[in-house]
Amino acid sequence: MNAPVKKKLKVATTSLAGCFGCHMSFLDIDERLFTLLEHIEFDRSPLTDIKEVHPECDIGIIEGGLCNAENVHVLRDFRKNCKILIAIGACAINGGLPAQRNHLPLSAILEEVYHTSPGLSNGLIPNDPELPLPLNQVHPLHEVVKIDYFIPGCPPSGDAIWKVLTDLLAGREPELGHGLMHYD
Amino acid sequence: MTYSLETAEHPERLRRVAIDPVSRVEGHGKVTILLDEHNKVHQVRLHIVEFRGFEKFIQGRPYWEVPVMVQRLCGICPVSHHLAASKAMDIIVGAKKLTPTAEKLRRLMHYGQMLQSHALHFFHLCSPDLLFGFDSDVTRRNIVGVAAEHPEIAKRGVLLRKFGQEVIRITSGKRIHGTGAVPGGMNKSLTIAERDELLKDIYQIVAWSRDAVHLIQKVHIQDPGLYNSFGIFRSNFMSIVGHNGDLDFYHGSLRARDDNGKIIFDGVDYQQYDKYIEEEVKPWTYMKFPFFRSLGKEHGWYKVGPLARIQNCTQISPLCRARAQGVRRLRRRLTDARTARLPLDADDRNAARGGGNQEPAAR
Repeated sequence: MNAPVKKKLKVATTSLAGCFGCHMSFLDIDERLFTLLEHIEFDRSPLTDIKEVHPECDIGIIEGGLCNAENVHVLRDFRKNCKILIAIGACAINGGLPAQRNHLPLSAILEEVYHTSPGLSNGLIPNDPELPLPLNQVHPLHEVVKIDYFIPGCPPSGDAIWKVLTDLLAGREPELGHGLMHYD
Repeated sequence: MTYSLETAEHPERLRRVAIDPVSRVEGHGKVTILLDEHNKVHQVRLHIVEFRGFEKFIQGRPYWEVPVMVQRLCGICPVSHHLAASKAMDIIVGAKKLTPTAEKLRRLMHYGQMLQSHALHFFHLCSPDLLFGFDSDVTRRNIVGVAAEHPEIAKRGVLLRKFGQEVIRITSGKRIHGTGAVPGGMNKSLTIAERDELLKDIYQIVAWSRDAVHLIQKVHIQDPGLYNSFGIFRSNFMSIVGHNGDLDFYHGSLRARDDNGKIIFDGVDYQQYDKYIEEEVKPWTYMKFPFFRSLGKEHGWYKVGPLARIQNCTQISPLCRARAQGVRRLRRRLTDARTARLPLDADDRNAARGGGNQEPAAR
């Protein structure tokens, strides 16, 4: 028998009403990814083909706010299965740019995009049961479940994400120092 | 358009299989498949499940916000949206011509985008399929698996992407969602030190990019039966092309070809796009279905993106040409031209016959 290998932490990630920019910023840790992989393994994530969050997932990282019913379902599933849940980026924290639609009635936006905008050959609002129902407004994650940590930025830098993850791996309370805490 | 498998006659009698979410792609989506008791497929749909409404909520905003707002459509290709919006705002502010420096910097920014996004697609997202096979173990079939078994390939992917991201950071101020382009030009210069920083690594990056082409050639030759038919479907193409039909990632006019390589339209000012393109809406996806007005919605749909750009252009740089030629030679050697025919190959045949093709394709 080999010496017992320290169990790797399971990390699940998803993008709800986000743009994948926070996931890209995660990859912006560049070659430090390989160091990280010595300590973590990816669970459900756009980078893997695992579709269900493991019931004992250690860390869940969510970018994007909530714009439809399915987003809410996925968020609750992450909360249920992840010991630590992190809201990453502007959209997860306050709705971000997609929340710019919040001051408009949803029906008026759908009407314009699918019925009256120029260049359409036909008009109808997509309504198939396979499509999740859009919410009237875009909401941040903490309005629906408890969030343990927030990493602000649009997106936060790779350095900020690295700092939070390495703090957590080392058992420290994550802290973003000067230069890593920004909102743009 | 209507696919033969778009809508099953009796969906209620069929078994539903869903790929949800679609992973290792650049975007949000779900695929549903309906099968009968003999596992025969009767319906397949790609659902784009998210509705955002950018078209509507940018209305009424200050014009200079648009390039930084619409780039947030996508954090993987933000530069493309940032520049498309900046070019639209150039027209609004009457900037008919940018300074040569501004245009070069915007082009450089987009080359960074092209590099990082292609590296992501090829190494981080696709290479697990290519190296391990489509049906390999799900826990290994990702970039982590590649890092464990082919560390050098994974490392090069990460470093190629990093260089592209650094080009973007240096030209736009941030790796993702930068602010470099503004209506009428750029608000950031390239310092000598920044230029030298990029020059230091560029030849290594070019060499690694060539190696990536060799890698895909190697993978292809190992299983020609699979790769010659996988994902091939005939279609029209559309892209911009630059001066003299050159491959161009930043500016040019619209060119469209049919599935035999014949020009449908060419030299079209992109501001006139709505005279050539119309969109259909379907109930089962938030994505619209654009098509060429001249061909109608059944036959007028088309491919865009890297493959369309390569197929559509008249010439590309000598370095890329050599790569493209290698790939096409390989393809010809391995395939029955009838099944794997692409428009470029059609042009090649015309050229070989001395046929009257006025638009010799890239070679």
